Amino acid sequence: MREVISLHVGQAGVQIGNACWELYTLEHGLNPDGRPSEDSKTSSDGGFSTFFSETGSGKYVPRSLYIDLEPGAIDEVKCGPYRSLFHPETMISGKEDAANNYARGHYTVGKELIDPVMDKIRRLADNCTGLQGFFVFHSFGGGTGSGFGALLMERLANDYGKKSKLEFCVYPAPQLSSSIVEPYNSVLTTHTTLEHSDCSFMVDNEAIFDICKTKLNVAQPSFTNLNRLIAQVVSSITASLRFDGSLNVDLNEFQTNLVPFPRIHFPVASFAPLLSADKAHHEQNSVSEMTFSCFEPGNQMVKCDPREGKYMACCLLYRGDVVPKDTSAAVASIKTKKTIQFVDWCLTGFKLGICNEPAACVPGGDLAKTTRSLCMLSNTTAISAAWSRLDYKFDLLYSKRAFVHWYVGEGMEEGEFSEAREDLAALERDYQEVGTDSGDAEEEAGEY
Amino acid sequence: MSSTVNVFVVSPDTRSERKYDLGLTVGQLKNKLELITGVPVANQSISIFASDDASEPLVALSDDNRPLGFYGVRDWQILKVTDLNPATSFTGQLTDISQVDKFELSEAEYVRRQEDSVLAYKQRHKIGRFADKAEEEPAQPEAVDIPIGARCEIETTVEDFKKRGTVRYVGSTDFAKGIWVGVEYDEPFGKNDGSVQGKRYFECQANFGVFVKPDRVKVGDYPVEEINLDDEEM
Repeated sequence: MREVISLHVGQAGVQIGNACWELYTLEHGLNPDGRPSEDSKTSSDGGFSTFFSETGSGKYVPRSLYIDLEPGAIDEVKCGPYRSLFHPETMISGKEDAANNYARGHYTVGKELIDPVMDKIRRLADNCTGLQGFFVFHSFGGGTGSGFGALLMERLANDYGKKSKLEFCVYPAPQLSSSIVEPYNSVLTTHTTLEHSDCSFMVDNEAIFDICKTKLNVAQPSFTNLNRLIAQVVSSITASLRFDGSLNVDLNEFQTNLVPFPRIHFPVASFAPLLSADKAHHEQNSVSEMTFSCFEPGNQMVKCDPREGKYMACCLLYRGDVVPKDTSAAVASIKTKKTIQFVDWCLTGFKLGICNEPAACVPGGDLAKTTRSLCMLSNTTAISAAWSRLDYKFDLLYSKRAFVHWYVGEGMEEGEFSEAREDLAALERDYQEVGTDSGDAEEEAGEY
Repeated sequence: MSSTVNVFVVSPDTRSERKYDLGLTVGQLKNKLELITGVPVANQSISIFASDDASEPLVALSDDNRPLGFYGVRDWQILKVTDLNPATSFTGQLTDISQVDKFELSEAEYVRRQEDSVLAYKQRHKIGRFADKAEEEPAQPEAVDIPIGARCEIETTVEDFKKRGTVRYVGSTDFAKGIWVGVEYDEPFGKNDGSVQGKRYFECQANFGVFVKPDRVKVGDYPVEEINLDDEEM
């Protein structure tokens, strides 16, 4: 068995976790209490025990851990409809919040909670026969998500060495900050986790917000709407690990293709079809249409323009009623488009997988139920625009030393700010270097 | 568990969805909001609006000792924070990035980051422009008769404008295939300091060095041209 442990850190991590586990239970025919529903086929399908462990009483429990420095978000789970799904010991909350401050999450407050958390993770890991790795869900902007998330990644690297560590991160929205120090928290957490994460899937709330508003017709999207959409993407990414199937391509294999250099590990996720629940029956939604849609910036989970960058790799994760013939035809026609440029030293190009199990649909959700869907993961240099935006905002704050004393007051050294910022500047350079083709060098009247 | 309320917190520099306990006093709320909005507690004025479009507030949270519940705050209302005295805070100064120059790593600083940069990785693993091109290269080297130390002139695309300098390097390089001539110009017409992409071929001042193909180099007796800036005084 190749088990995966999901770690949900901070309010955003926990709330995305709620949406993911809601969807997983639906996809695997489990009731909210973890027992198979009557018409369920789970017993014959072993694939999902990568994500759930079976108890003696026939109940399935998520291999997950919820962690928050303040009690609010976790208390809600404990009182909500899924309260008996999770093992109570896998929900850990502190009493004192991180106050939107990386330094509190990473040092002062986080320090108190990290050891009990690592103990719980050890127990979850001991319960696995062949632990494959960890998925860490957190935000970049919040204090717990950024600070404790980074601390957790460091400790995982230390205790579990080579086990893979993947992140799902909520990246700050480009236009409006959700908190004033978000750029600090984001730069600091990225710097600390950069060497520990194998692959990080970023979603930005503004991109998701716009999808909910314009494509799914949600008048005033709240976190519940945003997180359900994020969960669909997460579900597509993890489907290959949860379901068996001959055309199924293991996530590891995608990851090998997606990450050509250790630091360039931030693929952009896109999803199709993005249809509101009331439109389900009016759209054809062919494989070719879905494939083209995924190359539209409006279907991306991060705001950036891939036409301004070059691709290193594209992975297409189809689900449901999809045959290989159609996928190859769709990719062949995509390849003829001039706007889709690959870096010339990259041999991989496209990689396809099909998971026959269609995505489930949350009752009362915004997304239409369809027989097939597609999640595309692409590593493109265009995402460096997102880093550049964030770095620039950091510079504005730091030029005034605004709010730096909140961090120093929590025992952080000011040098960590400049060290982190330099690392991010190097990351931007890295993306430039990736985009520099062998051919590019020979222009400029042949001078160097 | 006491009841909570979901609201959108809006301030001059931020917007976010937040959940608060209705038992929280306005004073306690202000402490939390300082860390979110950057508006100091003493400067905060908080009003409730029914929606983003509403022009008039429903109510102002005027008493720091009252709990949030007292003001009848409901889910998805807008909690608007204004700064009464922006002269004493950063409010409004943290969104216009054109005020500052973005910090960038220079080429040289980037090259120095050998432990984990993509550049170092590409060089180490000979990827892309660092790939071995030996096989596709014709076996015989180009015959080049340019002595190191010779004076030379380099043609430019501009008529009557020739750049003069001294030959400092002749041979193959890591940055492109073939034979290249490294020249130190007499003036800073160049592109580098004798090193390209982190590898040094010769020493000179920044922007005095350049690499060109041999066919653009004319070797001969080309003295340093006096660029006389004192013309008018003569």
